[in-house]
Amino acid sequence: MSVKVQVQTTINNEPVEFLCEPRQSLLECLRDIVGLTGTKEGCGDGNCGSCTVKLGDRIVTSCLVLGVEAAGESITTVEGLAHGSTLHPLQKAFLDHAALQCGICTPGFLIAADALLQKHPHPTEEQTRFWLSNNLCRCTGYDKIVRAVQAAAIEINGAAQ
Amino acid sequence: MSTTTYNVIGTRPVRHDGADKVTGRALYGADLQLARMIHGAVLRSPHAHARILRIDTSKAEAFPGVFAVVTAADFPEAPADKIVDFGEGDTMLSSLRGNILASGKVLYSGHAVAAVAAVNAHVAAEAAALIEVDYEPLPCVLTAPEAMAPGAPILHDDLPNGNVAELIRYEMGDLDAGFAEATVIVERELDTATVHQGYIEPQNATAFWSSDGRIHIWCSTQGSFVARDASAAVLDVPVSQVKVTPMEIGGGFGGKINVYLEPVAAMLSKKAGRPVKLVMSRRDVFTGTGPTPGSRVRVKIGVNDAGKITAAQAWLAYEAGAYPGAMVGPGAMTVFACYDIPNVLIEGFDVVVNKPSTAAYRAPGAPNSALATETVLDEIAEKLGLDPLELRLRNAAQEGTRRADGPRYKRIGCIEVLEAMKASPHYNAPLPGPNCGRGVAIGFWFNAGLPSSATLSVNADGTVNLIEGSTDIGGSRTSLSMQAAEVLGLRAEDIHPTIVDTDSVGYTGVTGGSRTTFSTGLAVHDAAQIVVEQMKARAARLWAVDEVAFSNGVFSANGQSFTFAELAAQLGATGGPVSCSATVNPKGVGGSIAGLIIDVKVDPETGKTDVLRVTSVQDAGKAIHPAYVEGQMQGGTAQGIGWALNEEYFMDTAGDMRNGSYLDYRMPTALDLPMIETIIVEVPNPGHPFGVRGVGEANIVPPLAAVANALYRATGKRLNRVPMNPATILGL
Amino acid sequence: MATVFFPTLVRQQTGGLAQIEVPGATVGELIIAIEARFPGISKHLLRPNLAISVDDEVTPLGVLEPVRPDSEVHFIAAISGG
Repeated sequence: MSVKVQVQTTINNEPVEFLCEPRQSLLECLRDIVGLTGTKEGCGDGNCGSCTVKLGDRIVTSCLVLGVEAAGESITTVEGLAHGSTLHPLQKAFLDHAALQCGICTPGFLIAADALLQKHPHPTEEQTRFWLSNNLCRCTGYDKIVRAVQAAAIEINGAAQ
Repeated sequence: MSTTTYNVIGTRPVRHDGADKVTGRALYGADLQLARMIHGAVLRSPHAHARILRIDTSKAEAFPGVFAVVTAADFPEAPADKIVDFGEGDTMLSSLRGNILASGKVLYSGHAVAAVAAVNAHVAAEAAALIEVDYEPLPCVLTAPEAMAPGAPILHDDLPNGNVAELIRYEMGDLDAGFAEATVIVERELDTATVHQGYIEPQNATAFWSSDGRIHIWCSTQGSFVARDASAAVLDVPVSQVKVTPMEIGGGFGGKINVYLEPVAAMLSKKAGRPVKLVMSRRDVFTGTGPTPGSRVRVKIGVNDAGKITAAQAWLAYEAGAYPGAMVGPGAMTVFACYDIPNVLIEGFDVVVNKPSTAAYRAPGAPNSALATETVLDEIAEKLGLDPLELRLRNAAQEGTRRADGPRYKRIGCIEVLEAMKASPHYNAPLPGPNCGRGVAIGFWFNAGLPSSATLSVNADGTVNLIEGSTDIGGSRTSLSMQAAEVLGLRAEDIHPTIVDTDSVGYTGVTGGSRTTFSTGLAVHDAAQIVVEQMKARAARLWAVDEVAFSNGVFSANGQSFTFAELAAQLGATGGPVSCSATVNPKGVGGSIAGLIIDVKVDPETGKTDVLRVTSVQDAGKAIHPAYVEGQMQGGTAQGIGWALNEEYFMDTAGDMRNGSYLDYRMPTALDLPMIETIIVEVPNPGHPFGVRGVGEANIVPPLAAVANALYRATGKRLNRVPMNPATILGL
Repeated sequence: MATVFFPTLVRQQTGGLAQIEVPGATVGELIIAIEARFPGISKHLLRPNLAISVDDEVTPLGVLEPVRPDSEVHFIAAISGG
């Protein structure tokens, strides 16, 4: 076992400090050290998108980022989407549109979709599908996820001009 | 068609576990943290077939941070003939035990050989790599036709017919006479590759073997009681010694019925004296759990001038993987199940090969065989100049039709599904241009009954707690709560469902076989009826009357009335709480027919297929929560399209899977699919109070054939191999 | 008398007979009657991989399932699903 490193970072707008081994991924640090288990591991090699978090102003698969790289950054996970007890419009849209079945991919989709709506306030179906193609869902066939994201876009940003 | 009107059934309430699942609070198996918990790693065979000469664990045991190492030698011997009854298909204990940790021989690349528990998963993996295993490699055999050939390497010495574990045969009528009556006869042989269920959450299990002998297992399973019974059998302890707490489950599709890690975690815990967590990597999931069988299916169908099928013959060889159980039985029973055919011969072979031991996958066995039947029928329709749906309608199974395996259908929605396909906007729309094709196909799945239990407890505020044991993979908490609410005259939101451990509810079978909304729904329905009777008795006591009526949530007698909530508030003063349980093991299972219409466009240069438009049609009997019924149809359709076009285990000649990651085992992404239109047909199942049939599986049966038929229309080629990827389409 | 249909592969034990009418009030009683006529056959009918269908429904009661004089009994592959 190697010497642990102290990491100071910001997670969901709160300052967080943790100790990790240099080889530990950000995903491991979030889940096993910080205790934020909402971010899920589906593959460990960056292909399923279940561990998607926001790091600074980009989205990353946290299984491919080292925990030490979080130092000085600002991270958003699924636990940081809602405002207190009020769900984020994307979260509400996923429920209203039955856009989850087993729910394991949902945290990653929510984070990715949130980033999409910040870049494209009114994404087309094609833009939505392209953006979300980094996230695998095996239950839904994506239909209801795409509809939920587009409904949330209207809820957040109003109808497209 | 369904005509009964309901208050709750057929509406679309937000699911009860929804908020937890969109905020990250829902706890899945890998999320569990326990005090003093340590972590495990499993060492797997690099050989597809080899004798184990020696295992030396001493270096791993001496590695700093290691608490325990186990091999097959740590487990009780499995008697050669002991059968474990899981209520949904029996398994030889020796196969189950042999698959969990190999002894004597390894039978596939990825076969578990040993496991380590250590302070963390990294240390466990490093220690596992220090375990020395001496193998004597043996020749391997990877496909059913090769494994059936004379001189093939033999996997098991104790199977009577080489690598053929079981022969299935169904006969009806006079086959030769039937073919003699036919004016058009088409025979085709089609192969399908091994594919995986592809659930996003890897298998995981945490176990604690307490000093008092009790074993507590937390895991991701489709059936907590099956996981309990299987683990107890492998560990050779009484079932009451094991408690399984089902965590939230990240997909299963049939692949999370078997146990892999649970007994290993338990044995590591026994040695280490601490809770042990095991989580599979994605590669472990591909190579160490059960995919669905690759297959070769030959189908011959004869039709007369009137478009009536006069005879049909099928030959099916399914790859079981390392241990018997290839689901060729259901493949054989469903191959002609959509049709009324007088003369039939079906032969099926369950063939062991050096690949992972196969598991159920959504209507297991049926997509493989329907691929052959539905493409042959497409070819016959073309030869006869008949619309492919019209040919199917002329032969559609209906109430009273006898299947080749013997039983006759009760009410079945085959004609209704075909009519809905024919009338759909999609089927009547033109194709967009050149290189496009439209395909159709239908399929059948039996669905299942099996035992289920439920308890309903009335709260003083007029809500009701629902205690049940069916793990919720796609909204079943809500489909069950809605059935309770319908009986009790409440809203879905007034029911609070909780899925509990195996010590806390009556025996409940797996969430599989499309059975939960049917069977556990029946238990919930029955328990709710008992609640109504007991509440009526309380009202009768309060009002000093003999008869109390109950309708739409209101109890009444002689002009007096209580709402459910008003009476619930008085339970304490009228005899105490009302808490009612019911257990069912029902008959009355209603099979489901599904159909698919799909438009594709093929790039003639690259062979790439784009899916343009899809419509999934299915007989739900009664859709309790239509949004989640649509979700099942869309999900099964997407999996079927992936199976048809892309997915495949690439095995090298040594039997090693060369594409064991999501990058290389390419499942459909959002960009690969269009919206998936759905048409829910409702032909109520007379065997369920609300008409439920079960919708989880039949929808994956048509896509393989529908895609093949669409590709034929687009390219003029009848392909004989799935996946129909660019290489297959271009004939490379 | 109820009608019992023999699975194709069991017909080796019955000299090719595909079905038989036998007396009995339960599946178990039918099988006892059949066993008397074809000694040794019951182990081919009561196997873990076979389910018993009475009047076109798989019965969870197995040999305890009651039968009527016009009942049909089949032995089919036991399955559940995914």
